[in-house]
Amino acid sequence: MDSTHDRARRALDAAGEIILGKPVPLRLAFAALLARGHLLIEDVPGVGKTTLAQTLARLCGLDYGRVQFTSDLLPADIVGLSIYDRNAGAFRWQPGPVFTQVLLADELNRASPKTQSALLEAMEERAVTADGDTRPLPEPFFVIATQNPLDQVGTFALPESQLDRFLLRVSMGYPEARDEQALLAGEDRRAVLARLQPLLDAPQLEAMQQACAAVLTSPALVSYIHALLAASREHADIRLGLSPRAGLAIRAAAQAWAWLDDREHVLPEDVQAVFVACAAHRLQPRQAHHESHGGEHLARVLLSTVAVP
Amino acid sequence: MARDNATEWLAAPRIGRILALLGLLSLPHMLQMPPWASAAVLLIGAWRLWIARRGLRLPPLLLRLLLAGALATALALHYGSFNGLEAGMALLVAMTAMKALETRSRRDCRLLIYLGFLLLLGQVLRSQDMPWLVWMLLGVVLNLAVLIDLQHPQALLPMRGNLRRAGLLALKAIPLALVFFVLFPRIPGPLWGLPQEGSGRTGLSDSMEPGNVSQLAQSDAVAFRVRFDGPAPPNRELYWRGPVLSRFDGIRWDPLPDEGGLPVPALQTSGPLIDYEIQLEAHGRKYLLALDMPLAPLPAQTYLNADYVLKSRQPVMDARLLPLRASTRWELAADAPRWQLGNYRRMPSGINPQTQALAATWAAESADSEAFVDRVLRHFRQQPYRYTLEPPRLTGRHRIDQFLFETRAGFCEHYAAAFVVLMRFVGLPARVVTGYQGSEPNGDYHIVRQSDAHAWAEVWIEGRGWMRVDPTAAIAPERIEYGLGAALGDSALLPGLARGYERRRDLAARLLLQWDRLDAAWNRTVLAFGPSLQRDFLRRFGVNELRDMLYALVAAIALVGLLLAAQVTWAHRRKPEADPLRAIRERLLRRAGIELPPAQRGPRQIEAALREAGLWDADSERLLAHYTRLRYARREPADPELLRGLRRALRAWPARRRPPRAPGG
Repeated sequence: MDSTHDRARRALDAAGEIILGKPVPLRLAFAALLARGHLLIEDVPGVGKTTLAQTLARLCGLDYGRVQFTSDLLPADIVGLSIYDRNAGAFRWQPGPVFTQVLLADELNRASPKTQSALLEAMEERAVTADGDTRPLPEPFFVIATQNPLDQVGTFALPESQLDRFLLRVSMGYPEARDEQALLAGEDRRAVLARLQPLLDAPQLEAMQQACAAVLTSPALVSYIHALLAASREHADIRLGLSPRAGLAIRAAAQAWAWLDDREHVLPEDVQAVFVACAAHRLQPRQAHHESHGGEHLARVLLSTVAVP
Repeated sequence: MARDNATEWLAAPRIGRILALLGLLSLPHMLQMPPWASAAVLLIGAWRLWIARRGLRLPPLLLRLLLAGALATALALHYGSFNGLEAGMALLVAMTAMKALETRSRRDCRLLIYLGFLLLLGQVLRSQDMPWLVWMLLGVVLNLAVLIDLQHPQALLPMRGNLRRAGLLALKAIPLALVFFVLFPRIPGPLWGLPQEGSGRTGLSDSMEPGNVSQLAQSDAVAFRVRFDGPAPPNRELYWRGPVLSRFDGIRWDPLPDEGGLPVPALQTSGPLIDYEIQLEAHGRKYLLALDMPLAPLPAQTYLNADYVLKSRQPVMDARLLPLRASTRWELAADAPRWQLGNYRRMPSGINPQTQALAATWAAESADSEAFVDRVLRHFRQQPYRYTLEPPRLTGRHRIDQFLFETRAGFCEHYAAAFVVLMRFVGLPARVVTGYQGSEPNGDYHIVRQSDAHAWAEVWIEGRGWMRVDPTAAIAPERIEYGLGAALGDSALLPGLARGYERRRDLAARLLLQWDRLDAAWNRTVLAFGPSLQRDFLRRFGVNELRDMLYALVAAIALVGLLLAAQVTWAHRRKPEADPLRAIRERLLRRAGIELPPAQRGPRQIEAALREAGLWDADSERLLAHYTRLRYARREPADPELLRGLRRALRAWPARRRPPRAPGG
């Protein structure tokens, strides 16, 4: 019988058939799902952000919903609203698109801050509170948000406190020449996607998430993560260091990463593999030059300064 | 916009730190440079910072060369040449700025820091006063801190940590600096041998015109300090002999040239010998100061001239320590033949007729020379002459007439000059002596200030030789007994520290005197530590010869080196104890001969390095897995038993690893 781990590997391989030449972002995205975290994909339009989200949802056999964020989107358009039912003579709750298992929030930074925060609140609470009632979101609940690079026109930058709610941020980047040619020569990705059979289901995903959380983090590793956090708070070029929540995110992501390697303990290399994705969007450079790569550069600097225990 | 990859590493904050440091270190030099040059240097620095801010390309080579050439040419034109301290330092500062303009790599940055050390050193050439020691230490620590910063490949380290490390480094260097200071063989000459431009020094000049001593007396700068071996003589006997002026042209008094060939006259002394030590501030001239009259033995490199002035063979360019002996009861040149005294009777003819007439009248009234001298002094005492720092200006040809008959107000130089002229009109040899009079006790030494500058007269009398006559004592006896403050009261021109003792009670003055003690100690112990002091000092420890000195130097350096090495080993031995598994990993890496950055010493990375080194086999795999298990796969720290097992495995590991032997070898 297949172990849950083998299933996960197979799902990842299958996704690799669709998302060509991007094994690391793909694996990071999957790790975020396994670590019960939300994922932020930041990239220029058209590099496969949506395809990635759909692939993950289908492979895991999860419900999938999508919201295209625009500047006139209202909070109720996401979480849902109560409508007066004339026949019943009462308010009826009409759930919004957030009531799904995998939610693709496309171009999140085009929406107004008010709408952004409605979604981010739902992400944090894993529930929606409206009209005095708290309605839990389905399990598992996984948000994949995409955003355009900040220097594009018509965007509202997410504040740090909200960026902190995303476990990981990945960039897809343009495909390699070989992969792009394969993409151009091959079948329409949407058709491939439509044929894709789920390899997992919700209970299996739940089991995997539990297995990931059980991966051992030794005292040495904890001290390594802590050293990284501490270094980020002392660094002269960083305006705001990493939060304790960021530390938990790094640990959870590293556990998932180690689990995908079929290991029962986390190694420093796992931390290093997920650190830039975990930390870059949470680090604010003190000076605003090199804005686009500030956080990423700083995260790499931290990795290169902090000694492995 | 053109971006430069090479300058990305050297982003604005990093080059900003370096530029700020160099700007600070250049500051004392820039204050001495012509303003346009300082402005150019600052502009170049700002330009470099702007380039870094914007991520622009550095200016092309041709432009840099042109700019450097233009700067050097402009400085050469301004200073005339690059000889001399100020021109050299200006060139150094300008070229440091130019170097910043082409700085892109880590190596360039290091060079800039080394230039920073040179800038510091340049300040020492200018002044070795104690406050600059603080500046030097500060500069060294800052330089080291930025140098430490450069060692990191990417990040800017927090400056506080850099400063702490740099401070510790500087502290560790102090013993070595002391060893070199005490034991490095000195060559005769100042601690920092560089001839200096004599500008900006205060002190007696080699000639005298009415007005220049009173001007000097308005400064309370220290002229020299004196330490008496026994009790100090009373103030009225403290005549510090400086240049003797015998040539008179009607306005100016000048010394006779030393090359005149006149012999040094005979001196007879009676009374006690006074041994003392003068700590002379640099004044840029050759005369020294000695208590009337100096006696042998004279300090090295000095001589007495025909006027019995103690002189140095080289201009006094640095603070100097002179051990001297004097007697205040003396008889000089009593048996000098009259032909040797002609210079002291010469007068320009046709000027000061009234004075001449007055002298003739008095000469007719006086029985002998001494009576004539008394007559003159009585005149000064009885007529309404005033002693003042602000005498009316004397003009015209007959200045002595004007002073004696019209203005009747003057400072010591007026009275001394008038006295000598009166003597010469009746054929008595006489001359003006300039120097200092009096002193002020401070702790165990005495301070003589520029405000103690004084001029008096000497007249030669048959059978008695040269006699000191101080006309000022006739007019203002308080000046000689208690100093200038007592004689002038609260004249506004009098500097604060030159006023009377009763005015010294206020805190500021006392603090300044305290500071003077520190300054004196610094000069006496540090700056004056030349060849002779070094010899005397080392002799106490039985080090007599140069060879012994060198042996001692080498031994002391070795000792300091050993101590530092011990400290370093000790510091490095302690740490691994806290984390035994880290120590084991480090030992593993050492044995494998692998160098990995500390941030890349995870097990996978070690594995990759072992593979690359060709050391990957079943043994090393087992060893690394063992380590990884203890390190990362346990919830609790490994206990000693487990650690012993791993250590044993590690000890066994390299033993099997021998270089392949040639078959049959």
